[in-house]
Amino acid sequence: MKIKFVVGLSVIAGLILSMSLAAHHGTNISYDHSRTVELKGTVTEFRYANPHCQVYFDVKADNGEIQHWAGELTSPYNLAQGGWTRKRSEKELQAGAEVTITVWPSKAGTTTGVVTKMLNAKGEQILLGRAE
Amino acid sequence: MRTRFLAIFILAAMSVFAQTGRQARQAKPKSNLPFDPHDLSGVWSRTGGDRGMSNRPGVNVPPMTPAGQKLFDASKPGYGPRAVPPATGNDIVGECNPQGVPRLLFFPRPVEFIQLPNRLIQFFQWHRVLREIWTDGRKVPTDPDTLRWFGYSSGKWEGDEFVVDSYGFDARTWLDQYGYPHSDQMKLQERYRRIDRDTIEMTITVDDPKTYTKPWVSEKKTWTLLSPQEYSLDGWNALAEEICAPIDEVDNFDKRVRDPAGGVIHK
Repeated sequence: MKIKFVVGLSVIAGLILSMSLAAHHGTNISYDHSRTVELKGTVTEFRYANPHCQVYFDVKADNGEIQHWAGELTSPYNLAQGGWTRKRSEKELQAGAEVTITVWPSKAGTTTGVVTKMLNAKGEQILLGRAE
Repeated sequence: MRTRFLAIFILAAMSVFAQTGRQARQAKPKSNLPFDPHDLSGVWSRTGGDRGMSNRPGVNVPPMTPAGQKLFDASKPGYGPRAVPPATGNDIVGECNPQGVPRLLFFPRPVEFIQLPNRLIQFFQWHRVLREIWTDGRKVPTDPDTLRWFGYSSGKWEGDEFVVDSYGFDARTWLDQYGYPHSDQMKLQERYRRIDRDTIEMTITVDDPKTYTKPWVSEKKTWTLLSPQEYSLDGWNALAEEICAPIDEVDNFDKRVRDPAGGVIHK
């Protein structure tokens, strides 16, 4: 019982941490905040654009099928305030870069999500935006 | 005992992290430096208060008229208790249309107040909007030929309060992100008071008999003065450019992310 309580608190703490990275926009309702999905993939395109940055990446599913994912990020201003300027961000997310991206997935079941965490091939956390 | 310690540790960590993200825009410690209460110049950011008229969406909303209720029922916002996926909503801001006021006043982004002899200009970083509040004694038009997204505004000092009256609004905007409507008959009044060097308090009143049965007074909002280090990027001492360009938002983000996330797929 005690363990469940502590685990529950940890989940809530994790959610709060994730929220600090989440989008500031009205799209949040489109995503399932009760669970995260971790995806290992290859960047195909990154757009450092107002007011929503976007990362597109391919993920190889268990059955070998390539899934095309789209991830929503916060605004360039918020990223830059967190030190993630355009050049630095684009350098990390060049086409072909291997990334591990955690998202709150679309409630509609499509291959879209709002990005809550992103790791580069070295396992370093990248593109942490300022909280909205 | 160990469990209790763990629980306390986790709760403390939650509190710290929850605060961290907000610190940039929370009120800073009050400075005791002198200030002129009749000078609103500077770059400010909205800090205290929700992003709507009320402190929570749906709270303290005046009863609507039948026409107002019809508009409210038709609005499908992406925020608040009535939120729908923007792919299936009708918030015109999603396609980069103007937000108008008061909605733009609620968004926590830097706004430069430029106080000139004949007007106060609010220069919003978000969507890079310029709004003129005339202080040359003119009255806002009572029957303007053309309605405007940001209406027609004039301001004057009443004691230490800067009072802005506006009229002539395009009724396609919402009061806030929660989809509260207004009509083209809306009279808007903003009252600004600089209470110390770093803080302005603001209250907004919406008087729109076509939509609400009595005036709607917002909760008190606050603005906090920002230093160039707080709002500038890359050492360029100026507001950033946050333009919502359809070529980026509509043609890319909306079609490729927003809409699929809401279950709407474009072929």
